[in-house]
Amino acid sequence: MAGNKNVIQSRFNSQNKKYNFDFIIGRDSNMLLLITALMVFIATLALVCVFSVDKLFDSWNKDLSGQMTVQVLPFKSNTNKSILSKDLFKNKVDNTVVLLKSKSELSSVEIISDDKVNSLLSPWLGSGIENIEIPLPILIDVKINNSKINIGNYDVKKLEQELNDKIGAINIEDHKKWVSDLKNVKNAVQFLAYFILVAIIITTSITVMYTTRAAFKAQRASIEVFHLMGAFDDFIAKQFASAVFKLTLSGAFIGLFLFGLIGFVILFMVDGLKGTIFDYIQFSSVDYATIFVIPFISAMLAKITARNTILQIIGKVK
Amino acid sequence: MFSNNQHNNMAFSKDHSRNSDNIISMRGVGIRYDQNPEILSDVNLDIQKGSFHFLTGASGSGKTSLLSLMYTANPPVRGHLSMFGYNIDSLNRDQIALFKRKIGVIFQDYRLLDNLSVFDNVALPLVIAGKSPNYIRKYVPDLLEWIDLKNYIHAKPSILSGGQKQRVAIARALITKPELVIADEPTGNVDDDMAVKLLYLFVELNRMGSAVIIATHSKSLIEKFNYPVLGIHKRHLFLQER
Ligand SMILES: Nc1ncnc2c1ncn2[C@@H]1O[C@H](COP(=O)(O)OP(=O)(O)OP(=O)(O)O)[C@@H](O)[C@H]1O
Ligand SMILES: [Mg+2]
Repeated sequence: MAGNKNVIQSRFNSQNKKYNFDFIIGRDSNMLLLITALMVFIATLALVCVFSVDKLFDSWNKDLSGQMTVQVLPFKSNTNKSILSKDLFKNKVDNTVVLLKSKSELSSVEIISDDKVNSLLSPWLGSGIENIEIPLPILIDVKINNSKINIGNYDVKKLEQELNDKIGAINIEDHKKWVSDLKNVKNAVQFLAYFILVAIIITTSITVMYTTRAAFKAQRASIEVFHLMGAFDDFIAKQFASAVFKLTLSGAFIGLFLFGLIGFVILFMVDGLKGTIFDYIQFSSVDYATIFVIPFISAMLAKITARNTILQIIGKVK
Repeated sequence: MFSNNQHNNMAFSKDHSRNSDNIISMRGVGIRYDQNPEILSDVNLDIQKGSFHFLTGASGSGKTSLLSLMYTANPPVRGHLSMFGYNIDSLNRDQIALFKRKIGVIFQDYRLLDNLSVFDNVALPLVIAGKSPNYIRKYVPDLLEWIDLKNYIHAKPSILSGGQKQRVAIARALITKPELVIADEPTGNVDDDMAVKLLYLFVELNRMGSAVIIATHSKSLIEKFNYPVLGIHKRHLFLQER
């Protein structure tokens, strides 16, 4: 008997805990845990989408801006569309290159080789097009010298006008429209992602509210005892808030962990993604930190919601 | 046994709105549930610091109802209630909460929290009052030892017998050394020896300065301990002559 008592004594002495009343959330907790995990999973997905689209756009934008493609058409002029002979066309191209090279604002002028044009066109026209006797335009890759001039200020239209005046039947594609289309897509995707994030926050808050309300109802007798012993309303609200915080934080990390697991599988187990757009997406440490912060933000939001819910109920019950 | 004469003999304080010697003060209080007729009418009562009272009356006469008015500190449907010299209507919720911490209550139905261990149940008032874990570890085991429950420190109340639950409830009410102990049938579920032992706990507490009010049916206890007896008869509260 004495031995038994000692065991109890030592067990008791080792009990160095902070008091928690997590039981007050009770049975409703499983649902909240599950929903938080799911919501954080989706929220992380949405955020990763936002980041990815951002990176994609940035890298494409960087590649494309400051670049133009000068298209020398095998016609005499814009009005006279008779096809030039091979020699005359070659002359025309040479003249164009000379004129372009004379411009100090342009840093590089390169004719895109037939091979490259063929490889660019082959997906659409099939192989063997080099043998087809249709006159193809010659493409010249031109870069704006960004040490001489601000790329945004370069007047492409003026250059195009000059080329047409002096040589004729020349187009310049400066990718601006392409970039702005891309930007619209980017904005749409990001808007959708943010919309999803807001929807998730609302859903989670409502779940927290209902869970807290249900728990309050279920634990009414205990809460009355708390009150009879002189607990402040805020003390009671804090017990709920802290129980909800722990629960949602665990749920959130489960969601994040699942996302990481699936992301890992996709990125590292599937080799087929090499050479696709995934190459463009390199997350910075700030991005990773932001993603890692999601569980804490979710749990904080849940905590505040729980606390306010309880204070509101107690205020009404009073 | 009861008479209106005795009613008039009750020692009421003259200053009935603010007397710091009164822990609880009731004037013309009526108690009823919903729209039912009053179960107690015109209650005038002062519970003074350091006093000791028994409260008797037939089952259903309103003992629990009267005591709960003291510990819930809800404004009465009729009459005036003050706590520690303050009219209940003039106090906000947090102020009332602070006063409640000075009152230890043993409920007739114990109201232990089944999700907490015996230790945590007894520690609860200290936790609520913001005492440190060290303080709690120091005082709770001693009291559990005194009421013979040291071996049940980690048990959940649901496995305890009625008498054991009652003792946990007593420990929980006394742990804060309250200024007023309200005990509703605190010996209803224990044998006579244990009842006397528990009553000595209240007596000891009273000697150290706590006011005590005990509702009980036990005539033998009342006779054994020579304290004033409040009785409920015909919807009125009287001070019984001994
Ligand atoms: N919550 C309640 N709602 C409605 N009526 C109630 C409520 N509590 C008690 N009553 C009624 O008030 C009356 C007094 O009950 P109370 O519990 O105060 O008596 P008691 O003297 O404590 O009885 P006992 O000795 O059996 O504990 C009873 O008629 C009871 O039915
Ligand atoms: Mg009763």
